[in-house]
Amino acid sequence: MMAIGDRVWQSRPDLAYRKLVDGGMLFDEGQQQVYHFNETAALVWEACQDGRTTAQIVESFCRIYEMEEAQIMGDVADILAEFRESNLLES
Amino acid sequence: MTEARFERAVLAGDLAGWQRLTDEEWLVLSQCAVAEGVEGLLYLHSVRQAVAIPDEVRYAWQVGYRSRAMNNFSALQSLGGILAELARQGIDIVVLPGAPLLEFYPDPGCRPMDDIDLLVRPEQVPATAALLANMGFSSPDRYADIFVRNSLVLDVHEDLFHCGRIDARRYAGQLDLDQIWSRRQARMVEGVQLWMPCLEDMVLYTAVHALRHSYRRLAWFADLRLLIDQDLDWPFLFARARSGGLERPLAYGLKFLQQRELLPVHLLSWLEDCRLSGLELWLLQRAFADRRSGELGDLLWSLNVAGGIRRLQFLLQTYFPQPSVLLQVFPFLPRFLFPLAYGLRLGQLLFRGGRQLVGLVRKT
Repeated sequence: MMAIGDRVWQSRPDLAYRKLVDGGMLFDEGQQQVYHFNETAALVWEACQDGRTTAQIVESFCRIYEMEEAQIMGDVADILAEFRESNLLES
Repeated sequence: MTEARFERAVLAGDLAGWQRLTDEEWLVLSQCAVAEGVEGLLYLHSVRQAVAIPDEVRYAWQVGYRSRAMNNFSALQSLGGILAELARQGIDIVVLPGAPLLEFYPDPGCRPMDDIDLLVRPEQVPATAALLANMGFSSPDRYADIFVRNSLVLDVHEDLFHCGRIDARRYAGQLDLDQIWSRRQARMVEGVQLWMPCLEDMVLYTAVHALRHSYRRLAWFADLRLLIDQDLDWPFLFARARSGGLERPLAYGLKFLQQRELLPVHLLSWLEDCRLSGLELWLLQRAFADRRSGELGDLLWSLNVAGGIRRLQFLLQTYFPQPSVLLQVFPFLPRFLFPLAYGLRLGQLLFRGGRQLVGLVRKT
């Protein structure tokens, strides 16, 4: 069984993403829906565009924010869960 | 002082002195930014330059920035699909500025875009209208060339300056349409491929557009500044301005930038050679000084018309256009009462003229 940290996340390729000065936004043309991301969510999304694992995302966040893995893991997991609930990731 | 700071910030990203603004100055600055739709651009500059701004101003600008980014980005993505469908049906489209100008801004939250202007060959306009209707667009009452779907608004042009609405605009300079089509370029804007006029034509179009609308928005000068920073064929641009009779509108736009010390040195000699008349310079100063409330654009534009009779025709048709156009100004008036619209228009013009006069007297 695959450990949660090894799971590869992949963004849906049909969604248009744009980085903004304080985060990012995503446009789902089919649903005519726009999503706004804060800086952290935008970084997680960009990691999903590159097909990263949870462990890789957390590791890069630890480097960027100079924080411990335990502090970061919860936030990243929450953001990924929101992406999944909103059907923004490939199943 | 605040106005000068506002202009420098929008046109050059220069936020010098912002740390020392008083509450009153912040209020004025914020109101100007929101009224002109450039709060997103200022928000971006403030974040990039880490300039501290009052919380309530930051919040208002951030909301404007995000909503503009969302609207512009989604409009462009939707436009991509619409243009692809029109192309499949054999319809050529040239997207006129502003949408193409978003390419030159840091991101889509930085520039206002109320609608998207599409240039269509005259013989393809009926087919374009039918296809847009099939795609779920509809036209508001009295605006046959506007097409709306949700928040996306398309303005279909047969020519650059809507001469179908006001015929005498043809006397005030034109860009040759065959050349617009033959020199059009495909460029990517926010990941969407758009066919647009060549950069030199976009400079001229932007200068005339700003003049037509009495320079009400500073964003048009920001557009002009970004465009003239591109790699342009200036001899071609000047020749195109001369052959189209558009040297004066170009000179007016460049004059605004020159007065704010934002004009590249290599353009100064051309601008001096234009020899604007004393009346033009005076009107121009008034138009620049009263940008937001000004009504002098049409008057200035009329100076671009050769011949007294044609100039009179231009002014008459501009101020008293054909009934279908005038009824757009007074949407509450039933069509059969259109003669009344001319009386209302006269009253409106007298009121505005009086207001301008009072303003002038107060200033002098």
